[in-house]
Amino acid sequence: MTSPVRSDILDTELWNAFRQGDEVAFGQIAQRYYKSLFSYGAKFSKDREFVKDCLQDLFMELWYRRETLGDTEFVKFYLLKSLRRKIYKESLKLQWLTSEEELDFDADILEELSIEQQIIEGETHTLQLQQLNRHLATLSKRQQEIIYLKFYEGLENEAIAQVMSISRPAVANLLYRTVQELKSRL
Amino acid sequence: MIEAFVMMEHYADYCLEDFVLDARFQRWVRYQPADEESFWQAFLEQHPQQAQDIERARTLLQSVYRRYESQLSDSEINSEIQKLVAKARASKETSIDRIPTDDDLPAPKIISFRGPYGWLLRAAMVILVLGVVGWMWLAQSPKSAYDQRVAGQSFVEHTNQTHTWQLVRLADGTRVTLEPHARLSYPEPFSATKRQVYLSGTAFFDVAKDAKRPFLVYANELVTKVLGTSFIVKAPDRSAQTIVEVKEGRVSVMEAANDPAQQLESSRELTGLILTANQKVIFERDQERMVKTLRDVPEVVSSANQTPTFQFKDTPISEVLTELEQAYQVDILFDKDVLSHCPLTATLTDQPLFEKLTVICEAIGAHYEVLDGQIVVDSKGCK
Repeated sequence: MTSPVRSDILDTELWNAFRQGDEVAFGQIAQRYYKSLFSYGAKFSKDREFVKDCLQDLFMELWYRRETLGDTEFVKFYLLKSLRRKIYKESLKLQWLTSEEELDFDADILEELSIEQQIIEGETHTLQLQQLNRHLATLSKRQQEIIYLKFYEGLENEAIAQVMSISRPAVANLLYRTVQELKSRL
Repeated sequence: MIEAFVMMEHYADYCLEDFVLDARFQRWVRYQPADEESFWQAFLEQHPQQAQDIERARTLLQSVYRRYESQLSDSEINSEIQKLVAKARASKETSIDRIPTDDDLPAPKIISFRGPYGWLLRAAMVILVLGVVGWMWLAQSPKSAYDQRVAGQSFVEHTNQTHTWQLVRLADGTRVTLEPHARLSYPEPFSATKRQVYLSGTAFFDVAKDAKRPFLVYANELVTKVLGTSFIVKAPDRSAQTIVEVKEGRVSVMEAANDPAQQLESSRELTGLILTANQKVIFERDQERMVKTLRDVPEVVSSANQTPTFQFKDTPISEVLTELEQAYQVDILFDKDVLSHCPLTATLTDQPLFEKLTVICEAIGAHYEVLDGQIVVDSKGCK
């Protein structure tokens, strides 16, 4: 698996090939972002097929717009933002949400570690991880989403602000507060 | 070395919060790549006073990564990617510019009937109205198969009035992409035993799997039946041919006029003319004749776990052909004994199937033809 931190910026060559209508390059680009996007989408809906459908539509839009797209560095951010909007709109359509509601960011309940994993990770460490996990679950939806976008997707604060449609200082504040809270539980 | 030293100084006064927010630190915790491993080990040796913060920052990040990891297998990803590539390719072949999706694109510009070109638009409207009236008058004569089937039924109808392809999602999860002017009708909801739709024009179907309720497409004289797969039906009312092309899976095709069509409808097995991946059937409407052949540009079938590279080094031709057979899921007939002694060295990654075959055949002085949806390679052995 390649690290998203390094592969966030696509090779110019690949990107250009895609923009000129090379569907293999398109596939490679989609491949690079798929897991990360799915993982984000799955936090808003437990219906895996629904998330996959949204992603199919999202990538096809990217394909149809290939000639009007700009730089490569914003691709991931653009995709995350579009995915969130797409899931929101589709959820409204399917009446999973009403227009007053917001999307709920929610991770699956983690099963406790298996004995093997506990042995591998060491006992005290395991205990700490489980405590933290329980604590993460008590954070607000927004706090969880910020933590996710920052640590898991590696986004800059500016990008997080745009994806979540909140101000940049609000992101910085909430992020700082959340890290402090988590730290106090360590 | 100097660079590493500078980097280490950069982290010298980092505390826990700084570490967890640092992209490089995150990468180390998440993927443990060898270069980062050695960097951070060296850092710890030089800055033992930060060991506790680093350890806690690691634990914090690990718990985040564990909590938010989603389960998605590589084969699931691959199959989604292959679908995308196939759709992108199909959009190029059929020269679709783009599919306007319902909401994520900017709102269409409103065309003004006033303004400098207003007169032109008004004139166009008049011609259009005349055209429709004239067409309705002409259409008194034989009604299309589509109109006959749909008449008097309480179906939901979609007509693609845009100039680009349009996506229609059915309640069962099936996705139908309609060409401009194509029309699709269906009962909503589908019945408990089958999912039947009626098509006029060209459409690409990505049928949701439901083994208990076969999916039936009525288009011109043909009925196409599937249990879950993707395929294209080309059935404009006035064209000379009706065509069904299969991208993946199996479908069966039958003339709608034939009585056994009833049988096709009700049975769960696929009867009639069976088409598999990359095959197509052309129905010559005036001669009422069906010809089975291969698609013009066969595609690698996505259910295969890995995309083959088609790189060969002294590989016996018989193995090469077997690899092509598996990748494209088409039948290739050849004499195994004769061709197992002929080696081939070639890279055939990017060519379409028929170009690959041309290269292979040239290498051994053979030739191939497509017969009844299969490829037949005729060779006297290599020289």
